[in-house]
Amino acid sequence: MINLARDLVSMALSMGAQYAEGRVVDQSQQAINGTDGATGVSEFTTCGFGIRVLVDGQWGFASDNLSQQQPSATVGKAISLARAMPRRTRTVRLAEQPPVQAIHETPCEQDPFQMPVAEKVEMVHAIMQAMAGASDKVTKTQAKLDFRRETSQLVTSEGTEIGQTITLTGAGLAVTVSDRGQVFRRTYPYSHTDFGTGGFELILALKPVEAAATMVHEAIELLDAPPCSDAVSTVILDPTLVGMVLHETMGHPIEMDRALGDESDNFGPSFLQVHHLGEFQYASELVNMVADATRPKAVATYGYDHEGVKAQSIPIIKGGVFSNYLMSRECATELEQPSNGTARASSWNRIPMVRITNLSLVPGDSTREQLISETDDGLYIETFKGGDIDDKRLTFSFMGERGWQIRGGKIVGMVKNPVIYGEAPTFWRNCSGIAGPDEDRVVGISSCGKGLPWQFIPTGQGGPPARFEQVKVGGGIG
Amino acid sequence: MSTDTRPDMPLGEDQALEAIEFGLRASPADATEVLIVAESTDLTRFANLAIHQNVTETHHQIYVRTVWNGRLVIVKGNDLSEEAVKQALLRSEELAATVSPSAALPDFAYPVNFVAEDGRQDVVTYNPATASCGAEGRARIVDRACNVFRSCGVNGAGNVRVRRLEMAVGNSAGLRRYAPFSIVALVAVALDAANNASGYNSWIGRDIEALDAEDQARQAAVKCLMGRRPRLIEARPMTAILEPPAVAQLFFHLNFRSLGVWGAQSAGNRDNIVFDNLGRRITADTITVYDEMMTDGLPPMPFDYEGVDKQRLDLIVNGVAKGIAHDLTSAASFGRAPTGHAQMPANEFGPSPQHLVIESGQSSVSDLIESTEYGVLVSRFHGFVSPLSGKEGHMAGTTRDGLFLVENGRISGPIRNFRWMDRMFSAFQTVEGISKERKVQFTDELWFPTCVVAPTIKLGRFNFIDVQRWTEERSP
Repeated sequence: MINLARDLVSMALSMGAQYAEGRVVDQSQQAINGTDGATGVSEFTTCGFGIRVLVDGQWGFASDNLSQQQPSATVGKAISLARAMPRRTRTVRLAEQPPVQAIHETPCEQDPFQMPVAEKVEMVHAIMQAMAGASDKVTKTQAKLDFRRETSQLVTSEGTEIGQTITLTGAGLAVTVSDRGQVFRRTYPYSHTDFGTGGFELILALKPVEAAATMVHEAIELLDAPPCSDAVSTVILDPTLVGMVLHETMGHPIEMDRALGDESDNFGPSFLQVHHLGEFQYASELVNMVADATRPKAVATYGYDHEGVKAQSIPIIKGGVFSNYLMSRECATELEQPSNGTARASSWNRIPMVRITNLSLVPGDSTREQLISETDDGLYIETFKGGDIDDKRLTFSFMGERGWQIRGGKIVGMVKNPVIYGEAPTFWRNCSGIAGPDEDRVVGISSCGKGLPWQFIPTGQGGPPARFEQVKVGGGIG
Repeated sequence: MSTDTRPDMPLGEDQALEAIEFGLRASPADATEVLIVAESTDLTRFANLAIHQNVTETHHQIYVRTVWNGRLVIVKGNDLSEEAVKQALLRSEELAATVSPSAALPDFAYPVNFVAEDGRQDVVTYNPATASCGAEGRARIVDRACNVFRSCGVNGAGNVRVRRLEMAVGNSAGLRRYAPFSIVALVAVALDAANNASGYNSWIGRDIEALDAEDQARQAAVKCLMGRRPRLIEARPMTAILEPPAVAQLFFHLNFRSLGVWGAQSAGNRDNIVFDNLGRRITADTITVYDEMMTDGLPPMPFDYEGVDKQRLDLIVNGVAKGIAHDLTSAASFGRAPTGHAQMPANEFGPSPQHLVIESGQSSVSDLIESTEYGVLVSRFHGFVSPLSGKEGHMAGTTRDGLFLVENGRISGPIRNFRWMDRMFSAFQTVEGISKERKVQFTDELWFPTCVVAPTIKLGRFNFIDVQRWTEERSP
């Protein structure tokens, strides 16, 4: 791997590049899917290389499968692309980055790729059996275990050589129940497969078999639960919802390439502009947020980004004030700052771009129980089910699988499919309480989408339960 | 056609079919299918009226799908060598020993025995001028679009993509299919951030000669200029005239992105309003929707990823729910015939249409506006939509790239973006008019682009629930 990456860079320099970055990547995935008692196994591999060059301040990028016999042709394409670009209004500069020679590997207590497949299949069966046997109202059972490994070698013309092996492990289950024309689908741990970096120990900690029967009973309860009424209310969100609201309303707006307009042709730019930095009161003073690519076991934890910059924990919101963007080496020059190590590519055939890492709300000093007991009239919402946001990352809606009505500081009843909606700064400025570190939890998705061609990449998001005042709530499904 | 006449293709017909032939010969499985997809894709993106990304990728993938004593296994890689294919088969046999029998198995003989009507298999999918368009050609297209934006006094972003695709599929029942494709697409977005306005336009096709970049950019710029300084009015349910990008976005989400109401997967999950109402009226009787790759303006795809010839599939006829898309496996499970809508093996959406056509109406867009006493003209919905319920076709999202108030039969001015939340098929019960004019819209989230031929549709009632209030002025 390293020899090919070095060759790519050497060839690029000899063809006229002033900067070159070669990446050779080998990705593997094993997915065990269970549906209604039957299991299937899929295994995917892809190997290839990408070469990104700067020629006279213009980017070019080309990639090919590892079986390509003439990598020089691919390098030549990258050079040609850079030379074919009409002069930009801004010539690309890269923030200074000292060369790094390093190796990083995700620690795995129990390597999922070394385990017998049968053992994993057995667990999927056990999850489905636990659900199917729990009630005759069960109409569909689904379980999934998913393992991914990326081994990559980065070489740059500045002397950086980094080898990384990142292992992701994920699991999830869903049960559909039906009775008297009503249908409800309950998921664990939430509507996406929950991924982290690590081995099979992550699945053991998740205890999906133990959770399965509980999900059935909770789904049956929801069949008869009333929908959520339209109101302006106090809401308390569980970590899955805190995470996804963070991801969409704070994570994407702080991507600096988006703020500069580079995503305007796709899902849109960002309302957060450079002049907001260090001044804009995005949230209440209680709110602190970090983007931490070093958080142990979180899904977007790595050693170095794909430009060779060390992973780091970045304070994004401090005392409610917008304090930092996520930046690549190119973006960072806008602020004359160093990159903060968040440029990642989804595979060998994609360029590194600014990506969310592990976003989390910094724990406060309350507890979920205390947040509830302090609420006279409100709603506690659990288990992220879906959501959306607009083209400037301002107005949003998010739905949970179930909500709990709070009256006089006590839970008094359940509602199904509660939806919250509002505008990001207003919502976050109304944050009135955050639970403590004991309840801090980050969930991981494997496929946050951005860029063109599309890049789907793992991101983590979460925090402890948090409370928000004056939130519009409604019943997405009446 | 020999591969020599398509020098821009990443693999070529011979190499793709050779790899398939070897895999099928070497497989000891009860049944085997080998699918190869290859692409050489070039993309040029621009923002702030300047190119910022110029990339190319050459890529191929091989899917080996095998059946062993009733057990289905899928192995995917990107190495077409004989050694790699042998390894994939060995691995498949190992994996098959660990899994349980599948509830339903694909009938690989079906695509061999089923042949579409004359002419469909010979549809032209490739244009050499498109395939040979290089970086300079894409830069010229960008220049043309940006020059229009400059002359209109707006900022601009967008992208030009040229794709050369190949799909080859064979199976142990004797199937061998190959098709090359050329596709070019342009997205043009006009922006005026200071005045809180934007406009969008897009184009997709097989033939690059048909692309008029200036016209596409001009339409986006006009919309942006019309939308400057939008005023705030309160959202409430009201008449909505949905332009083709807005209509298409709803159908993309109904189709596969969020709810998959025309796919067998959500039917199997008991979360599908169309499946629950087959044969019953679900929209106004003016709505007819079908899937047909042989439609002018659409990049055609003669067969699906299982090699089944694509046929026209009626989805809604005069308001009545008619059809569900099936692949070989779901067809076996439901006891129905495959419809030629398989997606790649192990995909998350299941079978889904990719060439949706909404029948045009009798009105002009002007008629639809002039007949509206009070309502909104919706240019586009954001592509990020909440899937609330497939059982009810319930979704939520926001408008973007131009929302306009219509009063007393005329557009009275731009307004701030709305949030909406509605049951789609209830909303489409209130159709008051459909335009004669239609446009092709696309999304590229799947390997082969999904397209909708969409008219402008006037709904008597669409459920808007909130408005974007935040402005730059409100920040400290």
